Amino acid sequence: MARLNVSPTRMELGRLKKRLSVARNGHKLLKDKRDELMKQFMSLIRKNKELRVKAEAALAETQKDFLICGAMLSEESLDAALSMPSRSVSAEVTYKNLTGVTVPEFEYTITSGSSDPLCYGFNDTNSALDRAVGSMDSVMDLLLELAKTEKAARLLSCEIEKTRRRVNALEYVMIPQLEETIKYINMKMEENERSTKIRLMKVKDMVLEKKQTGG
Amino acid sequence: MAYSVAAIGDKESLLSFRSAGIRAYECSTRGGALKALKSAQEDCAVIYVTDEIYEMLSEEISFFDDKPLPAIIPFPGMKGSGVGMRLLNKSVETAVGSNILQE
Repeated sequence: MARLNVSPTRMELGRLKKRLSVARNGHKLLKDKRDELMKQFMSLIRKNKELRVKAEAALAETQKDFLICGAMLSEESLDAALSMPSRSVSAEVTYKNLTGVTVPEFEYTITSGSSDPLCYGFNDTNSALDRAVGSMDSVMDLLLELAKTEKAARLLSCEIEKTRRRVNALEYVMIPQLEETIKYINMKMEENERSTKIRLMKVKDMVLEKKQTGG
Repeated sequence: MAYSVAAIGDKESLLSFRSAGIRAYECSTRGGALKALKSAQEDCAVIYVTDEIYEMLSEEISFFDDKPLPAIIPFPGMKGSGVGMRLLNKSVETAVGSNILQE
């Protein structure tokens, strides 16, 4: 591992030690965050998968119903029948904080002009269309629930990836680099100390020798 | 603020959504879908897209992956291609590193 390009001084050593302790602390915290996110993600994604399988199956059934209606009715009358739906769906969004990730929560309100989901005259439509429209009700609940969990799961997965990168960068790059540099500075300073000591000893020897020959 | 819910796709796939009172954008080309997405994202919290359109616009849609809104959810239209499941597996892979949900 490459060491940082710093001058081996006592000042730098103190600074690096502080950075190392911050990095270790951050690493620990991020690791905890990652584990917690993962825990939440796993339960969400299981629910998401279940919902998706259910919603897709239910939707396929309804689509089939509508296809049959489309085959029986003329295009114009089907178009006219569905052109003014009696209901409209709107979503109220609140935000929830899941371990630091902002996740939207949708609260759906279905405003309907009348209690009857059928929004067309019975003159040129048939009962198959009534059935299809009625079955869409339960599918809608599934689809709206699916939107909520799927968005949350996707946001969490993005966040987990980001956190994992940070954890790995700290663990495998930042911390070893700092440790290596601290070790290098320590060694360099010890070396300096030894060389000063040797120099002093040499000077002392020289001074003694001079005294003996001179005196 | 109350947001709407929209669906983008081909005409047949949208029939069911229209009956439930969801705003429907009919389109079949990439350009049309892009236009629909642009106008839907402004005031919609949830946008349902057919698998086909999702694949067509996957690049543009991935832009919204890490934004809280809107939630763009693929659904199999008349010609479903299983994008939803693939997407689910992909997000497991990004999060965990390998797909652990696969049987």
